[in-house]
Amino acid sequence: MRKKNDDVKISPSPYAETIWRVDLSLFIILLIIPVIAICFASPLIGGVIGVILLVVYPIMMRYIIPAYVRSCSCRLTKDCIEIRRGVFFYHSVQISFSSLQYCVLSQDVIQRVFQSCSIGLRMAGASAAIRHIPLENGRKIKAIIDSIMMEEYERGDENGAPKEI
Amino acid sequence: MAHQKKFKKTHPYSILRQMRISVLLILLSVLQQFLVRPQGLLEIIGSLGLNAFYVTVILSYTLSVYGNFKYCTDAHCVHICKGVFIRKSFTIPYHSIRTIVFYRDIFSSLFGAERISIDTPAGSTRRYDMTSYFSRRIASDIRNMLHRKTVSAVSYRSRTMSIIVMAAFWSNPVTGLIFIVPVVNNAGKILGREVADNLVRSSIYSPVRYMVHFISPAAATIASVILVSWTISMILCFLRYVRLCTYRIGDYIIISRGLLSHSMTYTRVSGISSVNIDQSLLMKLMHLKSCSISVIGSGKLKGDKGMILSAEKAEDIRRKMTDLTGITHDEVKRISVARGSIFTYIRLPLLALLLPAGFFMLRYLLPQLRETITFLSYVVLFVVLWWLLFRIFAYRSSYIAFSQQCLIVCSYHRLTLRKYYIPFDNIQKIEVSQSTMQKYSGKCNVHVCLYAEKRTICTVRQLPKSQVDQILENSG
Repeated sequence: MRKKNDDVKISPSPYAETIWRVDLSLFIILLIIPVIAICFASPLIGGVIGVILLVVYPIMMRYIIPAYVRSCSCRLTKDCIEIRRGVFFYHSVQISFSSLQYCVLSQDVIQRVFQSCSIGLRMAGASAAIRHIPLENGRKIKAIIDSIMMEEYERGDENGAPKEI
Repeated sequence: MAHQKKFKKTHPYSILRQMRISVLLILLSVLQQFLVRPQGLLEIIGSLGLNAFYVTVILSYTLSVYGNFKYCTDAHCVHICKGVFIRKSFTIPYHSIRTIVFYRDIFSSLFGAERISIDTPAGSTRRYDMTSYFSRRIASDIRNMLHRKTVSAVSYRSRTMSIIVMAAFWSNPVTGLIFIVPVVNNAGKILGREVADNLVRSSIYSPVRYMVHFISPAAATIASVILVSWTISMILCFLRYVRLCTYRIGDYIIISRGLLSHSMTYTRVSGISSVNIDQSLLMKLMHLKSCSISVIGSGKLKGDKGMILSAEKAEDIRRKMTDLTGITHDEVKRISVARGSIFTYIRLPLLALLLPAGFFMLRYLLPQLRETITFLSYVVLFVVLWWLLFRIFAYRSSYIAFSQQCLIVCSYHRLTLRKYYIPFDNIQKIEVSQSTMQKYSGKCNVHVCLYAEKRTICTVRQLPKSQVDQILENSG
């Protein structure tokens, strides 16, 4: 059984900023195609959208992504998982282990290149995610969450909850 | 830990299932060969190379999907790894699993495979948390493991006649049309547009020949399309539900059904959100009722309505429902809909009566379509009158009640009167709402929210507010 001072702090991967930047760049590349199409139909609207993209893209790359990655933090306490993130809108989520159904460790192509992963937390009717953490840490955290979930279940069972299968 | 375990692969039939759409793409490239008919050597090599590329890409992707799907089990949970571009690994504890579905059709049976789907309260409302094909021996082992603690079993086997009746109640021409249209469309793609047109022409004109003596050809065509679609829908429904057997083994309710495609759904009794007794107006006339359950995972299989008992006499339904689910139907306190509230229930059907009236008026504007419009008007009038009668029946039968185990809500859902037995632990929220008029008349609407696969809200309209407040205070 883990104690109160066993809180685990989860930091984003050192490559988290790079992964977000690659994701954003891919998204912008996908946006450029419709913008070119709009340019043929209405050069004025296409031009305005293009200029906005040109202004927003460097600001996102230089300031917003680093700020967002700095704001992301996650902590595993005795009873729950705390996830904090956000630049303009600050989000703080607390998920108790008893409400967790299972957790998913996922890795997309870009994350595989940078040896990082994301952990999805699945609850009844809701979900949350811890994004872009180092792969090794991700595996450990998944194992910890799985073992805590089993402990929670067995503790519930000792308290009289029906044991199933 | 999951990565130290020995992962196993699923049944190779998964490859074929994965390729069922891709095969059409491969066929397209082969057809292209015949249609374009490349003349020069370079054209032939280029075309063949392109086709080989398509085939290689599709095959590689399919084999990668199969190769990356691995699973292993231990005493507490099942570990799964899957995904080609986005790799996922997850561990589902057994205690989170609410529903397990074993499904096999003719093709999977030929290959000795069976589809196993597991579902938890988490994840998508449209897809199971895990679905794949396994050998029938593994499926059988899992079933035996679930039956292991069996002390006694209660079983119920439906009569074929009762399933035919249910299929007739559930069927509607739209479902049939949804089935017919792609069949004809695909026939047209494969055999040519001319063949598809002939198929439609011959299927429409043959019944018209007989009906044309009584009604106009256009009306006969519409009638025949409605009848044929309804019959197809009924046959599909019948094939899905025939041989319905429901068992209670330990903490599980097992629903086994289907002829050409067979499914067995294992659901935990403790996970049942509500037990529902359904009755349509036609069933009311025949003194019949049916019983279904709302659980996590229900409705994800095609045509799944969670039915556990098909059309039976009310007394039999109540007795069997208690045997299977353990929920009794003794009501401690009951609040019926306030007197004089019938207008709220029949307001919409009354408004809908304007529709056939409009159709009748249309006859004078389009005299050349007089007979067809008259026929359509009568069809619409029949449907609206049926709706009106049902709403009167719903007004007389809706109520809310309490028993020792659960909250009982009797309300209408589309054209079915449904009595929900909701265990107290599964009630998410009870909401009492009042409009301005209701404040004046002392009535209210009660909404009971329960969590099944989709959020379900049972609403009873126009209940006396004072009685509702009193019963909610007493029940805490």
